[in-house]
Amino acid sequence: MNNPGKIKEFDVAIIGAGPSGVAAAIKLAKSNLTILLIDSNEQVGGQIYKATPKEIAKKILIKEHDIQLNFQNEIFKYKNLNYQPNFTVWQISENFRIDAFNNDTTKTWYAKKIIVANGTHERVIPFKGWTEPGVIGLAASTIIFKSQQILPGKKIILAGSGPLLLASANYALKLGAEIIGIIDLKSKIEWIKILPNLFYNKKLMLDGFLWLTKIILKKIPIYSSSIIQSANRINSDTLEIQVSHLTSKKITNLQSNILCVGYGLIPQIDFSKLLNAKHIYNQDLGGWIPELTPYYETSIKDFYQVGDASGIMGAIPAYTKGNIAALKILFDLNKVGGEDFEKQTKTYFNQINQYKVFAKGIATISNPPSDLYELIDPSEVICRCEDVTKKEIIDATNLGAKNINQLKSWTRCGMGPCQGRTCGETASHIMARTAKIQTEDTGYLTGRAPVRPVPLHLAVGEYDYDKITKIEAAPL
Amino acid sequence: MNKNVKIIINNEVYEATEGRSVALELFSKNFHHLRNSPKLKQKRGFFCMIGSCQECLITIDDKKMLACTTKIKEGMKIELYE
Repeated sequence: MNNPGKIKEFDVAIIGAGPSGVAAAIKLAKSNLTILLIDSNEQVGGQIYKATPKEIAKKILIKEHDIQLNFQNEIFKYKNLNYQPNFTVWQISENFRIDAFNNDTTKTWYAKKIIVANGTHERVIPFKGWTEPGVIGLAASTIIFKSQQILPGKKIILAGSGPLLLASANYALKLGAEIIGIIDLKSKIEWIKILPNLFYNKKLMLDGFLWLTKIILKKIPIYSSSIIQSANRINSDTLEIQVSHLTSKKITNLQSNILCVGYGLIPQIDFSKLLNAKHIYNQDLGGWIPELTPYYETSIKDFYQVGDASGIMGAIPAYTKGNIAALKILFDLNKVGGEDFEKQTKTYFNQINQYKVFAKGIATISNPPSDLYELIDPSEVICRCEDVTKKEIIDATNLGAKNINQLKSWTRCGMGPCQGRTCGETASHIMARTAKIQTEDTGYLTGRAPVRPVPLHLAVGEYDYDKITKIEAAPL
Repeated sequence: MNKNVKIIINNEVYEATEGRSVALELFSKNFHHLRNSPKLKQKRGFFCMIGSCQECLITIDDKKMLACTTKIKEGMKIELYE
């Protein structure tokens, strides 16, 4: 369906108001182009600079709040920048029609160019009891501490891998948490090995060291080379957690109110999949990402993907990526001259390159080895939406399903409301290990709208009963 | 200053902080179990906090909504376990 002509068409629509989306929006808004910035949160900043809800008093102050405030101030300076908070995009069509909804209404826009900057979701590797209420994501815990400013429970266990363990511990301590233990998949030696990479960003490395110092001074136990074996609720506010050492197999029993587990982040590719862009598999960048030009344009013309959604590198490179996509658009529309374009491009590319070594270090310390998927018990639920167990995935693979979409039609794995965001990668690893093929050879789940569940009356929007073409009943 | 408002959870009145995530407010009141999974009827609670995983879908004011991304408002009516 083409634009009937009454719906506003923007020069550029940006989806996601985290660092990358905001950077692109501001750079583009400085021209006379009409810009649309859509975001599902009530304030800009994305998840990394997540704002505290307006009604809630800040108990702890962190530097993320200052950055968020700067974004918020900047975004309202431009009359040609239309910012639409609280709207979740559920569909982008081939003609760049964008459909979004909030709690009680729906909106449709058209755009000549689209920049997707919708970030990531979390990688959680299943274990016995991972579906138990009280077990949440590790990145989820940082969002709670930063934005909600309360502890979901006083006694906290943090598990998984990467720098989020330290960041989350730091926020939790500021809120007065009692951290029972930090369960790190990686060993101390593995951390030391990435130190040369971390030196490429001394500021962030220093942050990490300060967090670690605080953890050591508070005498918080760190269980290195260890994973969660099981979580089990023993009473209304207590979980019993079994921690297993990867090599010695020694089990430690701990108790907490909440368990936060995460093994890094996965780029969100819902929209690039929906438009059938080409995708490539890059483990260091978080798995499947759209194939991109150096200016972050996908294989679909005028459709860009930036920020961590184009490969996990962190918030600062995300900002630069947003600027690069915006610069390319400005150049293509003759808003920036060739010489200026070359000069700015060089600066931005240098900034990205500087971060590549650092990001590689973070990826190395965050990425789980694929044999971790062997440790999942066959009875464990992998697809939470449709209750598909590991055994069902293995059985389907042994029966001949080699592709994740085949697995989906045979077992319903990935068919539920989360669209396979939670289980897709895990299912791929299990299939690959069962069939003895590469993980990327199992493919990725086909993109389907709605990418977020949308109430039917909102999906229908303003389309009325009267608009239905009624056909005369055939004479009997 | 945080403002306390009255909300209704499963027909009982509770005090809650205006603006806070419904998921967090429920968790702090020991409502960990928000819904059951479709086939195995496992207990499920909030999980991702960003509206991705859909685990915290509950009934708020007679509408299906995600507890994690919905804010507490005065008089809000919440129903759990269906």
